[in-house]
Amino acid sequence: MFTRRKTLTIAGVAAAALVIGLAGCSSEPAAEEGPVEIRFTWWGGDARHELTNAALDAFEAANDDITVVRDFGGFDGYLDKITTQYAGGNSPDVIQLYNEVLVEFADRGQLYDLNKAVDEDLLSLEGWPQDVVDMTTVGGELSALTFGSTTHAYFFDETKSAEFGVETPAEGYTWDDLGAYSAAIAKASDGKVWGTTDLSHSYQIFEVWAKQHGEEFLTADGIGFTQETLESFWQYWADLRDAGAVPSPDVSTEYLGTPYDAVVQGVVTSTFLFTNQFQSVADSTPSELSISRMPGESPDPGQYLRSAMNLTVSSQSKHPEAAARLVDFLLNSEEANEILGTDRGFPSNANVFGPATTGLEGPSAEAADIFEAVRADGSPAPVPAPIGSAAVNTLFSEYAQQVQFGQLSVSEAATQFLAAAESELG
Amino acid sequence: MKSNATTSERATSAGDGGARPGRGRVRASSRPAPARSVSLRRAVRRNKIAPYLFLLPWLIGFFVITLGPMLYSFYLSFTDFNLLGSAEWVGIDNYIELFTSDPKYLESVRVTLVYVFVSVPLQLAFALLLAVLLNRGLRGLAIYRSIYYLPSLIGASVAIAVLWRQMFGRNGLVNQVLDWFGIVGESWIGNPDTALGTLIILNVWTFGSPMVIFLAALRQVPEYLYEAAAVDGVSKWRAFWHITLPMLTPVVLFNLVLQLIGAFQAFTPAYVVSGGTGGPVNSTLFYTLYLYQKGFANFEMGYASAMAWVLFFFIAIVTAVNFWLSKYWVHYDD
Amino acid sequence: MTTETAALITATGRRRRSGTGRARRNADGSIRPPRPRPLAHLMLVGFGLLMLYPLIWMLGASFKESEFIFSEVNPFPNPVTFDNYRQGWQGSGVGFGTYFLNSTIVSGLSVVGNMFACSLAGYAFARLEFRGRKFFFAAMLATLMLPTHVLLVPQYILFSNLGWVNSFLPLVVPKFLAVDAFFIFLMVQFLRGLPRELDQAAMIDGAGPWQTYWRIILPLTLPALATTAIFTFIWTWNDFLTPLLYLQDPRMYTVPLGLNAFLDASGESAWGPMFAMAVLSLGPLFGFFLAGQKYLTSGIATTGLKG
Repeated sequence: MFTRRKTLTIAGVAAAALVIGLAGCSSEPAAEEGPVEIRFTWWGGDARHELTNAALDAFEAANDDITVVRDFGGFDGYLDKITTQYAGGNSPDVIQLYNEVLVEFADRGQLYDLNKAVDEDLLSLEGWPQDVVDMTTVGGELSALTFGSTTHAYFFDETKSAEFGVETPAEGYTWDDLGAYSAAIAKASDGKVWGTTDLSHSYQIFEVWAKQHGEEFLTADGIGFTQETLESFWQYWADLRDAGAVPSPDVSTEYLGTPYDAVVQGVVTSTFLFTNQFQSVADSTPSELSISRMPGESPDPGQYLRSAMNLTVSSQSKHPEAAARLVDFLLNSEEANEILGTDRGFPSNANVFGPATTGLEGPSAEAADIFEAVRADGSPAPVPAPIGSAAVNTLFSEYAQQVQFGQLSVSEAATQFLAAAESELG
Repeated sequence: MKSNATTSERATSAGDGGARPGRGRVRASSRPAPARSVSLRRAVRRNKIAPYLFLLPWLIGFFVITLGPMLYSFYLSFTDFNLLGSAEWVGIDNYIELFTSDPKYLESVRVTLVYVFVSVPLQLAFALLLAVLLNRGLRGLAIYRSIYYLPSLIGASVAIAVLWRQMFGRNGLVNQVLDWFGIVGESWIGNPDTALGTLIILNVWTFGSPMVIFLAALRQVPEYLYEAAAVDGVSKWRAFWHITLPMLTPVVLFNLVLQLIGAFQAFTPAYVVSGGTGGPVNSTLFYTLYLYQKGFANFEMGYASAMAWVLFFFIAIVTAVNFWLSKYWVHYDD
Repeated sequence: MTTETAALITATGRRRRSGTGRARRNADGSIRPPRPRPLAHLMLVGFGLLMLYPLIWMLGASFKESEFIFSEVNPFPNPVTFDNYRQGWQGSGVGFGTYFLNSTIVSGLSVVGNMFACSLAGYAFARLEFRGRKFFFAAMLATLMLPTHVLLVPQYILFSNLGWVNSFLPLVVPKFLAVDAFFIFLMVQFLRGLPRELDQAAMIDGAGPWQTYWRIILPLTLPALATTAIFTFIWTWNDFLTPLLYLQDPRMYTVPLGLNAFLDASGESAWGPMFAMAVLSLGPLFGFFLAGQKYLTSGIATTGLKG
């Protein structure tokens, strides 16, 4: 008897805890009285932790009624940790969240509507472009604010290209120019090195391609592109593969998650990255690198200012006011942005762009130029995609791989992908 | 002194026996005489509560820490639970979907079965071979043992992903060696035909745990058995088959059962080497990796729980069969 | 298993006194020292090097400047730098000194807990008679069979309600409650390999189960206990997921969390410092293994049998 009752009790406690945890979402925020402790969770590498800790020290110095527990770590396991803590009713107060899952959290009412903080003058939107604010507005609520903006870029290994006697494409180059460059490298190296990685599996590249064709990858309603555009994208890479201008599929797969590693390891001489990654990639190779915009950007640019990551406040937070003050400090204060610099990307608030970017030099400064160019004439940022978009991103890569390995033809894969994606988003 | 009494008991009882012919089981010693078993029974009866006291920590842990969450996950397997909202009862829908409309699930089952049935025997054979080789008879054995155990120390961290790329990537050691022979290798971890193979090698590479268990068990084989065998002119090879192996069988069973369970639940190797995708083209989509993707990346914890319980029952059956079969080959001394 | 085997073992069952446990004896009883066998050594070393290549690569990388870690194939650093160790030790402000201390505390307590609780339970399952033994044994094994990923959330809810989050308790207390059935089963299988009359004799002499456990069983299962200690230490030290979920304050982080904090798959990873600290992290593990393997191979069980 002891055993069964005990068991039921435990199960009951667990179930009750869940209910309480979820009920926490609707609980009234406590009035701010006396010193409070809030927890801020972010992911990053060593450099980011150091900068963020310094910024938080500055915040605590300016707000002696708030202590910030700094729960930081690597990217690995980050989402598991956040969701488990949510399920346990113990989420962090302020959370750095990535784009792909923002809607998943927002749509389920897990994020505090920052508009409330704006109304209470705890958080300012001065200097924020409206389309950037729209990017993180889900269902009429301001679920997050971008914590660093970035944009796509293509970078070239100038040293290796010169060794092979191939000139890197000049700004304003087309996709065909890129293909010709890649083929020239492959020829000059007897097929041991290629000009670019095969990026047919990357929805992030296709997103740019679709915009250059006047379409979108995903809109708020779902699929935003035609099958024809998708087929043209996959066919472009298929042609390069057939011509031996890009590595074989198994090599491309090895560098699926981190294409820039293929350049660092000398397998290819160019690929895409995000501007905020350029400095660290440049630091990891003795070669001289150059950075330019994506191919095919004129006359119709597809690049846009993309949110690198977002800052959110949990709806489970017992101290949303204190949390909002932290968000405001990190995003809008000159002091914080001087410290944080461009590690997470460029600030979205135009008023602190200066403090964050002063003194940039070398690769970071070159990346900043690309960012500025896209800010001047880039494509508008897309609005948040519906729930299920994370699964669609995965599907995109899976079907592209089946084309790469010759298991499906381009048109078969496109048809099947569209059907699968629509059922995920439906 | 108690220990003296014990050993003298042992000496007398050992005198009167050997294996009973025709029993099909090896017995290095005999049972106590009938008169003693009466007092033994009395001794056992005296201590009816004692067993539960020995078991108490485990009982508390089982009922408080393990059983509750297990039952809760069983409940979740009948729900639609996205981790962030409340769980909604859907009956056996999750289970039906698994078997009728999820081709990726069936693919993960296939990948896992291949992995289990190739890597477990390989790893165990390897561990046993090296345990026997590194048991005695060679100078510097402690050093060799330590060196061979080193790979098992590293754990399944992200570093493994990088190190495995240094072995089986396009620029890895394997291709460098092939290059000496003029063979241009491609990426072994990026090719759907070979990626699973590299993970099997990864598992065999970390054979340290079963090896250590075999080593510990080898010390329990009484020395005099070998000495007597040597006197009788029995070859080492025969001594291995007829003394070492039978005496090791309880621990072989242990390793087999647990390595099987571990392989069915293998997660980290595929997770780190494929960057969490189970790629290329799902060729390393282990069961638990797919479960994890569903639960934590797609926010379908109800579905993931259903997957977990299907695996649970499958492993339970495999383990039960294992124990049933063990009657025919495992030798216990008790 | 045939009658031939049985006969062989019976034949060899005659007991003889032997000197040291280590030396082999020739038929005439003279001690035969291990012969040097160059070929065996050559093979073991060669194969060992192949197995160790990834670790050698990591060691080399920890002394490389960041621009050479992935851009060159040669595992040997040129030029050699110690910056990775210097920078890595700082560990994002908190410092690896703290992480190492935390890992030592957690792993050390876990070793004590597992040795204590699992050997008690193992003894009960292997040697004592009680109602429900078979049922509980099956239940114990069953706890191994459910993938842990689906237990993470319910267990988190449980520990969260106990107020144990952000402490070492969720990492350590389960060990004292023998939640890791692996080691119980290990003890059971070892005990079942030992002749039963050893402890039965003690019981007949009036020793209770406690005395039997302390005086007979514990010394006899020293290799199994050493195995438990080694594995518990290594596995706890390397555990990533549990500390990740339960520890929220960097001052309580363990080594794997510190290592993971160097790596950002979506941005800048500090590979050099990560490899440097990963190399250092192998130190305590290797030390514990070296210390433990002495008991793994101690001949206590054999001597115990021979009296």
